[in-house]
Amino acid sequence: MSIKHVKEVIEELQRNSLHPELIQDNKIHFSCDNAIYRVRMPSQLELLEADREKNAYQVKLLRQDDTITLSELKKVLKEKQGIDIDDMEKQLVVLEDDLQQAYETMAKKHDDDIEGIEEARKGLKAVEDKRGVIIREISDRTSPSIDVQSDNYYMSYLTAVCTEKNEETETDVIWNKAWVSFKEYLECEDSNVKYFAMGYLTTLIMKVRS
Amino acid sequence: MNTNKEIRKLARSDYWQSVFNTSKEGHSIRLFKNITDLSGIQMQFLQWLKIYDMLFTELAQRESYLLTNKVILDDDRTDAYLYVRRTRIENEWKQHQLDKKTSDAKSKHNFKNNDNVSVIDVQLNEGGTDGRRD
Repeated sequence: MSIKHVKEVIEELQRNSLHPELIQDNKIHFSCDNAIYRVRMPSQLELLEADREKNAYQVKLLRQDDTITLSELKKVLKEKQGIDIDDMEKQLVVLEDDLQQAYETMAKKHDDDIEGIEEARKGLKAVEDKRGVIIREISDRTSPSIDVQSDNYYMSYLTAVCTEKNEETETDVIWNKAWVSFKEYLECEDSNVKYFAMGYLTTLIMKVRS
Repeated sequence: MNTNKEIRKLARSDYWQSVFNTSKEGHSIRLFKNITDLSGIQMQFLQWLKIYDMLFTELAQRESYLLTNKVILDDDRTDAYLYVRRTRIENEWKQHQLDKKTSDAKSKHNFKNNDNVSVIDVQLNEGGTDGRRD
């Protein structure tokens, strides 16, 4: 068996392999800087506390002089840089219609129309890519606003509370909090662990789409 | 790893569809290690379990010529089918509402112009006109 063939077989196996670990419990494990960590789903109480922390932080930012709300930022961006966030959001709605059009085209394709299916898939991907570019730009442009900063603060709080580090002893497997407190988390320098933990937690919490 | 793709693959797998069908029959089956604080991933998985169960049922009943086994195995084609299906149901619902309104308006019109109106004589007072019993 050639190396190329072995590669194809491995890829095929990977395509068909299932990942039940994603759903077996409400945690995601990951390794980082030679240690094993996990993020767990926050409890309802922790979510409430995160909301409280976010609100307090939002009020604190509102009282500062050098901060800006989302609506003010939108105005400034439009007036000083000619960047129209509202217009970008309208473009997203138009692209939503294009997406539906692409779905209609795709749905009518028969199994044996392989070329047609691939063509329709390209059409779908093109619309999704366009949407992705606009969503990323909106996200980047609005990140200095109080609204986005307090959302990030909310996720930071949950990351600090819900990340655990694996500490193995000779007899037991122990999971300790990666950061003793939110204060310690905030005081710690930015690190890979912080970055990965927040990413995995965002995935774990992911909103259920309608 | 694309989490959404992986969740869908799991949800349409024979194993999880069997588990779901068994649980629908009223058997108590524990799906996850945790009972409370379901993660967003788990919630989404449950939603896909239901959707694929519905699709496999529709496939078995040959409800639509657009739905095939290959469609179910392809996420893009499934999304497209689900979109068209939803649009069809919404249109059917709108048509149903319109038909209902038309039929209601017709029956009102018929009632006003119909001479053969049934009259039900209801005697409100028992045992006398003043309603008192002797």
